[in-house]
Amino acid sequence: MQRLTLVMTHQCNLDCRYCLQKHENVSMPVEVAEHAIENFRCALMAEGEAGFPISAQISFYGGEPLLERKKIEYLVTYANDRIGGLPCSPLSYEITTNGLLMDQDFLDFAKKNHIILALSHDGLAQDPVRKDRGGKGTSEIVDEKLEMLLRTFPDTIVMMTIHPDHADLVAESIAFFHEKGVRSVSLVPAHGERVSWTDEKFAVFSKQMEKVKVHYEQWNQGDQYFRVIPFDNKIRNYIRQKSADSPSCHFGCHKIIVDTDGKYYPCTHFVGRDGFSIGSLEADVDDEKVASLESLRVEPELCRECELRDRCHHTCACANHGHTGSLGSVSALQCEYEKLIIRLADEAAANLIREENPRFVERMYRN
Amino acid sequence: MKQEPVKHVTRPSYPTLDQVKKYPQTSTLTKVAAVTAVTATIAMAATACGDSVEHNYSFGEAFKGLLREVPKATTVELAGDTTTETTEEVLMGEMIIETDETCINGDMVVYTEPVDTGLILDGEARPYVEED
Repeated sequence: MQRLTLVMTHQCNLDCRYCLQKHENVSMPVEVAEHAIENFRCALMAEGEAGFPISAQISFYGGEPLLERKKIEYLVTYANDRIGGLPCSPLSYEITTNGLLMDQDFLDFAKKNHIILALSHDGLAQDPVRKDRGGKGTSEIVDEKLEMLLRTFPDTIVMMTIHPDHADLVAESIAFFHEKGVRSVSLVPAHGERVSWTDEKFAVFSKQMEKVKVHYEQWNQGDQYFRVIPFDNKIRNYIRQKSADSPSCHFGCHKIIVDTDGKYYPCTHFVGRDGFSIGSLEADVDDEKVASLESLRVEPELCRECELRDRCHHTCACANHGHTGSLGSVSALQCEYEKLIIRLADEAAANLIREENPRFVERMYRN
Repeated sequence: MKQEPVKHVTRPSYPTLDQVKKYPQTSTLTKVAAVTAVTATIAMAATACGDSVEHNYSFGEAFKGLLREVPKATTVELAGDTTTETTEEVLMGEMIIETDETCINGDMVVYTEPVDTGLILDGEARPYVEED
């Protein structure tokens, strides 16, 4: 799949405690977005002419992308017109949003246009961690938005970021989401200079994830389903003997991020960071720069001896850089997290598959 | 917390797709007449599934259920059963037509979406007008 991500704005209406983005008052001009879509169209046509099957996705990113909602609605219509007619799988879209600006009209538009909406929500830690710009908690409004979202998209994905100070709320938060009707949760520990993971806090997180595993097994019995995305990924990748290192983790390969000023980046993590631009709308992808960055994306030496290396995200450049400042190093947090998730996923999968829970087996083994 | 390589890993006890595919075919095998997303053939006898898998798997009902996945009509011919049936099922609560990987916020998500090309093309693109 080819992916284009448009950074619609750097602004955000929240002030999350772990956020590392600079919320400058800049947004993407429509002309820049149209130019990016045209370049994307050309790239897709070239893939088609080379005989590759094409499938394409356009993501809208921020800050908070729905601050530019009108532009997004226009650009979806524009892209449908320019790309929708190509002989490829239907164009899909994705928006990760904090939900505050969603309404039913937008959800109806999203449904009509195959927009995947992922909602950022930290569960019971929402109020202490994800406050608005006025310092007010946002759980009440986001919970309402979640209910609205689930009525239109029952398979909505919720994205949780775990702040170390609130790691004790993980399992209860997952249960909260399940109770609300959520059936897909992605979760990841917060990292960077604004958070601090100690051994004690990680131990709390680990105990919570053991409880999440128990929930996962309960809620995947029989015809039920509940996805914990990190577990699902580890299990599916093992079943397919597929490396955790996704092709889109390689710079300039399968995805391009276009910033508000038209500069290209290999991943949303690198947007605006000096030295990581890999081209621009005018100049297109700078292959030499891509090669130069790829050469820095080495496997950490310690990881080469590890028997879990094929199942671990240790070569994800943006994750490594976010944790350590280096493309070729992993942090102790990453290492412990990966080992934990792999172990718990395997324990859960062994039980669920041995018991032949039909829906779970289907989800994991279907090609 | 330590960055520490892991040695002497116990292999997961659930089978890989390759192990399922290599499972010896028997006269009770189920065949799929049309191409679906399922590529494995399923043995219905309960025996061990592979030398590296610790538990015996029967590949019974749950794995037969893999053949239910059909976005379009699929003809299933059950070995030993002369009935041919056309099935079209969508699992409740889950939109299933094509599997595809989507990258959401750095996390790969296998996501499925119904395909209906009638909804994709939205008519003529109108020029964007900035609101004051």
